[in-house]
Amino acid sequence: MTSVAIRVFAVALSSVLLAACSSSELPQIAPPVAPGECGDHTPYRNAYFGDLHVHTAYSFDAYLFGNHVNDPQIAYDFAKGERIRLNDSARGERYVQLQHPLDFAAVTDHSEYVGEVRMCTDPEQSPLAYHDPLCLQFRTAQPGDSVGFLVWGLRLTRPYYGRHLFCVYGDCPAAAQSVWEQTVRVTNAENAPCRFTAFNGYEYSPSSDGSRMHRNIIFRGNEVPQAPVSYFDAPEPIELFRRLNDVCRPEDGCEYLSIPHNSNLSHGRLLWADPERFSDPQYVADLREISRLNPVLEMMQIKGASECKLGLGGSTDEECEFEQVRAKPLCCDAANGITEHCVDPLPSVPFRGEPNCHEVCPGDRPRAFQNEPDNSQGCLASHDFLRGAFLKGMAAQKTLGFNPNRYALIGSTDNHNAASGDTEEAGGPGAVLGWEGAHGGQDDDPEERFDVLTNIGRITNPGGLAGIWAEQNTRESLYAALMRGEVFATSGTRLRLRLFAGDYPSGLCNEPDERLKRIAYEQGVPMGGDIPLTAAGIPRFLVQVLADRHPLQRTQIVKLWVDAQGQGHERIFELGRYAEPAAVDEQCGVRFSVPPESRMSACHEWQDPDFDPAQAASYYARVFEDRSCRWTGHLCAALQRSGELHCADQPQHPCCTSGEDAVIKVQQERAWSSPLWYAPGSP
Amino acid sequence: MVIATLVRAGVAMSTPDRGPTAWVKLRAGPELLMIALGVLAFAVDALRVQSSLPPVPGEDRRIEVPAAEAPRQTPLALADDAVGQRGGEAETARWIRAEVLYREALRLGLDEGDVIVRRRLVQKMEYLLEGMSAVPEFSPAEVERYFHTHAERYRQTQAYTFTHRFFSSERGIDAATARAREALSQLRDGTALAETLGDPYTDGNRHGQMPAARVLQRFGDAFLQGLDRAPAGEWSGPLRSRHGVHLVRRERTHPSRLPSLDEVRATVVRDLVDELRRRQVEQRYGEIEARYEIARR
Repeated sequence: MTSVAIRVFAVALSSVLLAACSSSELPQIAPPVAPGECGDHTPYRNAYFGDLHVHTAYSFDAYLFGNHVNDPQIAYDFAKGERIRLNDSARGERYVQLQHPLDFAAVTDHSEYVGEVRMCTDPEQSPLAYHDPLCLQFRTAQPGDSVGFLVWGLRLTRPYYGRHLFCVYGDCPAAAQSVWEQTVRVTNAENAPCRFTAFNGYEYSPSSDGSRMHRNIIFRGNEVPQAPVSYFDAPEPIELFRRLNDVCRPEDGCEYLSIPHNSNLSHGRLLWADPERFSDPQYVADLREISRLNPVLEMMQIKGASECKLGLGGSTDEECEFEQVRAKPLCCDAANGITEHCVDPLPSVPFRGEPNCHEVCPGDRPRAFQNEPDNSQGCLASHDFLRGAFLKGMAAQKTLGFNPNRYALIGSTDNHNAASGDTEEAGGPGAVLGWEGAHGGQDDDPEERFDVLTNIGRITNPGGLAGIWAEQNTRESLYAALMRGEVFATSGTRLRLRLFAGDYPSGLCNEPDERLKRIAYEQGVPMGGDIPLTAAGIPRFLVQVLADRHPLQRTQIVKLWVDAQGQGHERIFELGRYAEPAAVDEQCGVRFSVPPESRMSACHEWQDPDFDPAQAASYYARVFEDRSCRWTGHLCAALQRSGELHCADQPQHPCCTSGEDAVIKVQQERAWSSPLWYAPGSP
Repeated sequence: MVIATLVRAGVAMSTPDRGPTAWVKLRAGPELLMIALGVLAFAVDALRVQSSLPPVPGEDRRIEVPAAEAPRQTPLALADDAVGQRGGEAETARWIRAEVLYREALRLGLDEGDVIVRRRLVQKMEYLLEGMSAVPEFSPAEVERYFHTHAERYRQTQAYTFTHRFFSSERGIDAATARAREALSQLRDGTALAETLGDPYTDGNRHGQMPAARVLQRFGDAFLQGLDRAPAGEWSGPLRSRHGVHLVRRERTHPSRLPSLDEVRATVVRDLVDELRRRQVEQRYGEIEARYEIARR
């Protein structure tokens, strides 16, 4: 109370002083800022944008892609707006720069092999290891060398392969520790409260059978373990968390959270909670612990979106096709009217102790990737996408009393060039070809980037960004927002999106800004929270949107619920449709159907017409920008502008054809809020 | 050496360090085949690397098709392909075609005088040079000297502390401008408080020491210019941004200034290290260059 009084007095005093000296020659007085508060501090929270998934030359795969130079320092330089150099291409030198600097970033190099990479690239660690044929091969491999990936990548598919053989010549763990210390030193030095937040972090990368079960570990402050706990140290997630809990304890000032990603490539494994084991107390305790330490899901990144999949789980939402890297399982194709095999729940027969891979289309073997040969490990499960995961989590909650898949949502990049947050489809300042790719020297050849067979090709996208609603730009404030789930995902744009629910009066969107914000927080909860039971019995939702550069096209709320029979449902409500999608031409010129200035911001109030106080449900908001060119559209336009491509001569070129091989050139950037959760009897 | 490596590989890969089950598992799936392919690929490559002599163009006309020659691998494909990849005839044919043409090109000496090949090789050497440099040592005096020589680099740009109120252009810019004007006159009359004015704005509206460049990125040029000219400590406007119309209250302009060394020491040290590294690279390059006789004509 006292501090409030002091602040009020200070405001009054400063107004008096300012009134007294309005001439700019006289000394100017800044508004009062309480100790520890930044100049933009607000209890109603600001949106900050950043990237919590960035690889540098310290990651074995980044190095094999040809990124030998861009280290954590460069990742932070880039995030703060500096121009950095990528691998040269046959066309010459390549540079990238952000149009807008980021507010925060975390370098998350793979913990696996981080010591081996150092051994192979620093002759002073151990000359014997340095000259080992494997290291020689590693250093001199052409970007994307398949031998390199067989030797290094294959080893990540089984934990017992462990460290590399040349580690007998030197101390790989010690090398790993020194790399970690170096990264931590740089990160701590780059962290600048109120201006830029740098989080310590790393990636834990199990890939059993090729199933991606990767998680980024983000530390709250300067206190971190001596070395990261890797897949080789802890093959199972619960082991990872047990070991981390041992070496990173709150009483020592160390706190961490874990962010799983690419559930879309996990073959049903990353977000799996096995109902057959819910009677095992140890299993349930482990699930609860994993859930506690994993508050956020990275649902949008370079290797695709993990929101939903058309046909899977019976979804008929066409927007699920946005940035999919997995091929569409044929029998689940809603367009063909065959969806019944894909409806949950299906019998869960453990597959080598892992979740059942036959959930999709019994009898069919879905392909793992678009246009890739069939792959026996390539199963798809509805819980590989957040809608299915939420639904199964809500179903599990009925038994467990908690939702093992309760996640807030962010996007990030997974860029391997150390180019944090390089999500601009058109590329940054000075870009000629548009987005330059994210995989070192591998995506430097424009023609190869149209390839459907390589995974650096057309199916990748520049990745997403993490939006965080926080009082100010400091580690403490941003970390707290991640923990409570007041965060959102974007497909790379800086669209600002808020979602609240509560006991609100109607007409909230007509209130003045300050009053609206106060009511939103005082009488309700922001995204990530539990919807309180209201006096009226029916909560009112509030959605606020502020466009980035492209105008808004429409705003939706997605509702998910599980009925009494255990059947999952989704329903999409349209809150606002501001224009029909724009026409985009071959040179990426846009013709809007409605002037952009009338749809740069939006505010919506909404009530669920089917709201049932006895029915648990989850709600998240989804906002679309108007149409614009995807990176492939910018690249096609650039090749045509420069005269390298004439569609008259090459009608079958992916840029030119309208046939099956046509590349997707136009898209709608978007943002997803974290969900709000309703459960009967919740406070 | 190669054999030793292979033996080591074999031993390590078959070591049942997780008990017999691990070994059984290992034999059960397609992994065994893939391990064999991996070892083979590894051996082929080790042989290639071990033979220090470059292939003699025109002599070696035998092409060994590696068993697991697959399309280019990336982490996305990494383990899936490594485990499940069967390559396929088309891929193998494509690889063979590329290899034949590559060999023939070498035989015809097409790599010589090719700018792209030259650039690639030069780039590889540059990477090797950079990778070889150790962390340089330096004294505090050097840091100070470096800071004073490059002081301008650390200049902090002009920044603004301000608050704003937003007026949505949902019903057109003119309507928003008119409402902003009316609000401004209410503020000036004292008939309304700022807290009671302005449309819902999705983000915060108080900014402390926001650098001019960020104001420009966020609100646009017209807004920045208006903010710069706005009288300190009172409401003024309306100013346009791409989102709509705003009233601003500029509290303070923070002029551009040179920071002290202590404020930016970490950055300066980093830049100095970069500089010293570059010098090391140049030194190594000099050593290599010295082995050549450069004849200028």
